[in-house]
Amino acid sequence: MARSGRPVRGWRGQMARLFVYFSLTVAGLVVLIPFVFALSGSFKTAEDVFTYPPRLLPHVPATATVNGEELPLFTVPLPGGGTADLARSENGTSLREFRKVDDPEFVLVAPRDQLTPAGTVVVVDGEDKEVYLATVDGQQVQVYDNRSRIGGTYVDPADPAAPPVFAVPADVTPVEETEFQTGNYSRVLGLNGFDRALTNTVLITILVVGGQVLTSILGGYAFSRLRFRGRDKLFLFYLGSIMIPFVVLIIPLYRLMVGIGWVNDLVSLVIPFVFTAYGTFLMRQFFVTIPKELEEAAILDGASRWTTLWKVFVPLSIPAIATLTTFSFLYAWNSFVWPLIVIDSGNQENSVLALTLATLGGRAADNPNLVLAGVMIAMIPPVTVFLLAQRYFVENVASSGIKG
Amino acid sequence: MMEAEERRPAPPFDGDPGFARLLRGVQAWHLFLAGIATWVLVNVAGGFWALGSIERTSLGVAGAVGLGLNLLAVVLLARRVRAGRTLSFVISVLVAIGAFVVVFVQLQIAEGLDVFAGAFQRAFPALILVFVGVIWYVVARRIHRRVLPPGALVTDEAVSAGAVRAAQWLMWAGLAIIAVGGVWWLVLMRADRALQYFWDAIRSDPVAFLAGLVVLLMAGWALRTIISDRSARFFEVENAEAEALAGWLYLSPNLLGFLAFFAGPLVFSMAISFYDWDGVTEAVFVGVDNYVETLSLSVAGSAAGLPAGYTEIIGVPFSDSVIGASDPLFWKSMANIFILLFIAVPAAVLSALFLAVMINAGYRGTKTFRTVFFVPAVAGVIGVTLIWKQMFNAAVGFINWGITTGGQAINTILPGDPFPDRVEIGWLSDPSVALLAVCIVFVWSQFGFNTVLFTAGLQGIGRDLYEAAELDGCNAWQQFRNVTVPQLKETTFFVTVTTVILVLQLFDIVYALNQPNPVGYPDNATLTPVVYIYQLGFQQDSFGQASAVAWVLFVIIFVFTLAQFRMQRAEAEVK
Repeated sequence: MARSGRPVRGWRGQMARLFVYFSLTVAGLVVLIPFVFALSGSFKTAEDVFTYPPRLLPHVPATATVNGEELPLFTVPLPGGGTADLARSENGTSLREFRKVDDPEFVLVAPRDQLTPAGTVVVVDGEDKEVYLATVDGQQVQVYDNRSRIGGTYVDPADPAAPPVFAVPADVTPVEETEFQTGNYSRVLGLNGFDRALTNTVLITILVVGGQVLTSILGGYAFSRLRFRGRDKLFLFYLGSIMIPFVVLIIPLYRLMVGIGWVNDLVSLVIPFVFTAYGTFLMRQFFVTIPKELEEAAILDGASRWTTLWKVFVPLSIPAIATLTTFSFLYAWNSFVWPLIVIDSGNQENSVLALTLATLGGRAADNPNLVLAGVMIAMIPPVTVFLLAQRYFVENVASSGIKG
Repeated sequence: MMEAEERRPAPPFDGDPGFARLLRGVQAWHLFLAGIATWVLVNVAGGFWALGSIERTSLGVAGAVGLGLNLLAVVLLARRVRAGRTLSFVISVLVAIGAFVVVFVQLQIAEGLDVFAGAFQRAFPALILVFVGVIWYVVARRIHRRVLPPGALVTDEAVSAGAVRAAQWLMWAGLAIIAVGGVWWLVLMRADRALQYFWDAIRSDPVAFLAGLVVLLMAGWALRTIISDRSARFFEVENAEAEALAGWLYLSPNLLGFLAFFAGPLVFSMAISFYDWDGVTEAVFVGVDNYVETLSLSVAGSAAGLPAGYTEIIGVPFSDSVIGASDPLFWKSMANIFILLFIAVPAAVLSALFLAVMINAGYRGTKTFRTVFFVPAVAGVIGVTLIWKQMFNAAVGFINWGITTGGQAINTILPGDPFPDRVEIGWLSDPSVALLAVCIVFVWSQFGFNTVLFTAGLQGIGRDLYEAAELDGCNAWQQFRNVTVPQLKETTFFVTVTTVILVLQLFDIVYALNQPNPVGYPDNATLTPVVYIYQLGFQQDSFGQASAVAWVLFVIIFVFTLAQFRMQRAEAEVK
């Protein structure tokens, strides 16, 4: 498979190569963009997730410390033109909107006591308006008092003593800075028993994987190396069971758990799943390929079956065991339907990740950032395991067509 | 198998008096079991236990059979009959299983796991430390192997003694981390509390526990004795027979689970589909009524003309007639799954075929994409669905933003500005597109899996076929059309059937996208058969009806499975 690349000839070849890489890259982006979105969202604040248009980097409102007080920063238009990033020292200041007498398009917002009354009146649209004197760019201009506005008082954080600037909310935009909310990850751990669900999932995955590997090795050995009457018929039943969809078994299995009294207990997530027809099948198929001479040599040396299995078969089957481990790991870690049925949604003690995530996701309106952080935590282990074991995994899927 | 041993002339049997003594122990064990059986029989016959008639009969029969078989075993073992060995084996296995269950229950292991999970959480940091130590050790060992290859000596000239010592130190450090983590783990786990837990569990009924334990140990000893090689020689057992016993023994853990958690429930599922049962009151046998209820359709001239209990589901085209169903939700789920099949399957199969051909074109580095495409399939359905749920947000989601941005870009080119300034499609709340959203998530998480299957199929096509086509002057499309497509027929069929089966069982995506709304939201637009089964079984406690729908779904799935099976067999025969 390690071909050193197809030879590229002529412009047609170049075009073909370009087309291949282009389509693969587009598909790769389609796969990766949701993950990038989740990663970015997991570092945002809740308000930031709900900002439109969506942005890649997490932003928070910038602040400045003025006279020991933490004040939000805004980009404020200056009366003389231009803008500046100023801190809002007061919100809800009652202001007046002034317009130039000779140029009504020019607007100035300020508290009334900031300007000097000129004592005259102009008539605008049939209404009497008082005229004031204002200083703009060092020049004195005549403005008339148009109407009342509510706005904010903005000060220069570098020079708080300088005269403040006034502006109405519509004219200012909050200054934002990039900040990663790494705290989301620790916050989600404290949400809805997420931390307990995480450790529960680890525990259950360990038990299920260990159990599946053990029973599959024993069963696979029996099916491949020990002849007894009815063995092959029984093996056909095992094979057939892989074709039965789980949905047919859900209700009777649930009733069985009710009968034993395991509903809402972690044990119900473990015991029924340590026996796997698929794993038995996988191990059997591998054991069949091990040459009999190796086994016979061990038996001639006086080894028992038990010893032969663990000292000869198992060490030779590491690739198959690795495949089985990966499959059962992914299966146990991600399983959702069965926990949903057998564990109450309110049970935070015995929940597992997929279940807690689904519950959290149902309330994503409150804190989508935390949900996304939870999703990242839940996804990192299976994706890591897959990437480490992908050689076994991808090849086996390709040959058997079963996805665990 | 093991013919080498079989063919060797058996050494003249000298009686093995040592084993004869051991065998008397096994006989004693069977006498002991026979004694217990007698005790049960006496109590049942004498009416000393308060029992119902069924329990009385079954316990009586069990006692009698147990007594008979154990006595038979004693006699057969005494006569050195081979069948006695098999009988003893079977009895001991069954008793061992029973005793194991008793010990398991008496130790309250099932409940204990929940308690253990609490301690496990407290001790988790220590576990992480152990994990780090293991990784450390593995890496250090690799380094050690590198600086001191197997077979090399520290004194060799090519080997740097300093590096070896450093690697050794690294390995020791790894072991130290594991040790510290392990001890810390034990401290955090409060092993004393675990002992206290088991002690309390045992104290609640010490007799049952001890009896179970003793019987388990005795059964274990008897089993070990009876299947040992000495026993095989003593009974002059043929190798095949010894092998058969061992086979059942090795298979038993697996087989028990298979029977208890697969075969048993399967039969039970079939049975309850013929009952009306809410799980609380007594089940009422209703024959095939559940199936009739699920599948019944009726045609009438108008909606009002439908029989009682039938609801109109669709009008007959080109007429005033309507079709009604007694279970309209079942048919709604069927209609939904039908639409899904028609959109999702071609999308997930054709995109995968295209990408597999691209990967297989043989350019450098394209195999990496196969791994990348596979990631959604392993990342966990709930996780990826929740990501998509956020991206589907009508007001601020990525998807609508993407459509808006794309639309604006087209507006700058096209006259008349056909696209609105801001698209706000209710992907999850609008019944007309909700199913499409499900479809998108499904295809996105499935196509990588299909791509892997296709690349495997493509690798099976001989290079020579392409070379021949190239010599015949076929261009890339003609090669694809005349070589790839026919050669890939089986793979395509397999991939399609696998995808169809997955679509038919769709549940997780729909559930997670709709939370916290009722399943099937909005307006049953995303109601799939499995969601409907979940609703019937676990929200309406209608277990019989839910099982019937499950079996109907199974039949549909089975048709596809069977077709695939046939295809594979035909393929195998050709080869």
